[in-house]
Amino acid sequence: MSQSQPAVPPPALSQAQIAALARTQEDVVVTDDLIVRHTASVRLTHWLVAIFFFLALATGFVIYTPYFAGLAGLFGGGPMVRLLHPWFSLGFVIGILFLFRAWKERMKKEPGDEEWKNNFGAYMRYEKELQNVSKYNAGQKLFFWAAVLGALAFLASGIVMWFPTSFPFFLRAISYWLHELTFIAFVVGIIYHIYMSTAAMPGTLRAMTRGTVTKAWARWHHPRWYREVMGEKE
Amino acid sequence: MPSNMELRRISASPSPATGVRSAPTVAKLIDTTTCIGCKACEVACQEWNDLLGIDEVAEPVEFGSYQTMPDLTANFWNLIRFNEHVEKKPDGTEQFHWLMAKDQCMHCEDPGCLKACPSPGAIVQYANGVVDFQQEHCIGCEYCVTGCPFDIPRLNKRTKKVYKCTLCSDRLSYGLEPACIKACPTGCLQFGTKEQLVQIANTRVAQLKANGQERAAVYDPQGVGGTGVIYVLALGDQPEAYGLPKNPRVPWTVAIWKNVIKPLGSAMMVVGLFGTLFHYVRFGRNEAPGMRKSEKEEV
Repeated sequence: MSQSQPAVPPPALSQAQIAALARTQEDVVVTDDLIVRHTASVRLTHWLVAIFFFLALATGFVIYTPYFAGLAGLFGGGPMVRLLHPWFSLGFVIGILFLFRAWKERMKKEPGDEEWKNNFGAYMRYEKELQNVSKYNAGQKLFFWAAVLGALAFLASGIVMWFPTSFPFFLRAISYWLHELTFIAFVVGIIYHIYMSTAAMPGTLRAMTRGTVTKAWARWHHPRWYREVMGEKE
Repeated sequence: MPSNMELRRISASPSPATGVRSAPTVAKLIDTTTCIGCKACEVACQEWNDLLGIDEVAEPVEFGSYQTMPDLTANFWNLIRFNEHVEKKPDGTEQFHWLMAKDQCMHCEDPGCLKACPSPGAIVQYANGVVDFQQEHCIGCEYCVTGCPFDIPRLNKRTKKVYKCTLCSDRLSYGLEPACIKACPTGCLQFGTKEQLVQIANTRVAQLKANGQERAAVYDPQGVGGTGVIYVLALGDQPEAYGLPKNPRVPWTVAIWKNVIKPLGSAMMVVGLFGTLFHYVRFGRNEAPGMRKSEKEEV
């Protein structure tokens, strides 16, 4: 696949050829049925963020509540948890920064965001078809910006908690609150994020595994993006 | 295990502490009016606890004071503070005093360190009221440093655990008094039950007042439920002059963090988890029309 990419390639691509295309180019149709949603580098970054998030989550839960103290055994005990948690978290924050670079343009306000927000209840009850949803809906955009802000809050408060006696009392007290509130918001957010992208919306997770989604999926969930990719006039 | 070593409180423990046998609450009395600053208690503490061993020895530091060290360290748990105080006499002259204070763990009835600690069993309070760190369960997060209203716990950089005065709980378990008490030559340090010592302290304060020291008072701060180390202070209305906080309590930030934010946050997480489950049961999946059967199954 070293030649230039046609906008609509011939239908008879092999799985390997589709995978090769989905590695580098997004928002293109690769067969008569599949559209690339995320390039390989974005997918890898997202999985790195996910892995570091869950490592930081598991070690964080040990310190957050004694009910999960048993998880410490997975990491070699409480002192190892205290040692590893900041490094896992640093990996998470760095990953988020790369995702921020990759996605910040597409996460800006677009027409259709207001309509989505006003119809959030109906959206969750699957009652309404919104024709102006772009590549990311307003909820995904909110989650993105919240995750970036949350990562910064984690970082700022986390550095204080990493070396607590280098900071005065009031900074420590604020950091414990900020870290914990951010953590709670993140856990609630991540439950919702994973649920929506797997159980609730079939056909979504493959965007993060193989990088492609079907036209039927795109037309249904992100019609404005679908029209953009297909080159249809607004 | 003697009954006084049973556990009254355990840090970060969802289930109750294990102790069922009662033991009288013990205490240490420090009569600052009879302290001569001999530092015998410092030496006794270092000797008994074998603190002059593996780690960097807490070397005496010259900093323009008769005090041994500027501050407590992870292997220096008992520091006589030579607080310098200038008293204005009624005739206009000034007189210099040392206000001696014995800086060490206060063994609070309601310990802020134990409240802040996230590691099950790393901080315990024995039936006799002594607050003790169990280093084998400590993870070195230093939350206790923030929880302590007296700024006592110190981290050892090599072991990454916190240390402080144990009130010689090992000696107490054999029925001996703490090492510092044993060494004190003036009797300004006394050991006994809290009840006895409060009586002795009150008697001493009455005596001081009768001798013209009207400001004398007992320091047994009730903001932390009283302490296992109580003072007789000549300037009782001015504990800050001795380096003691006027009204110490478990920091409210720690209390709200542990008592409000944590339970509410945990509830929110559970609600989130059940919320998605109920949503799935009530509304099911949002499938795009025209999806192939195989596509509905795949992820």
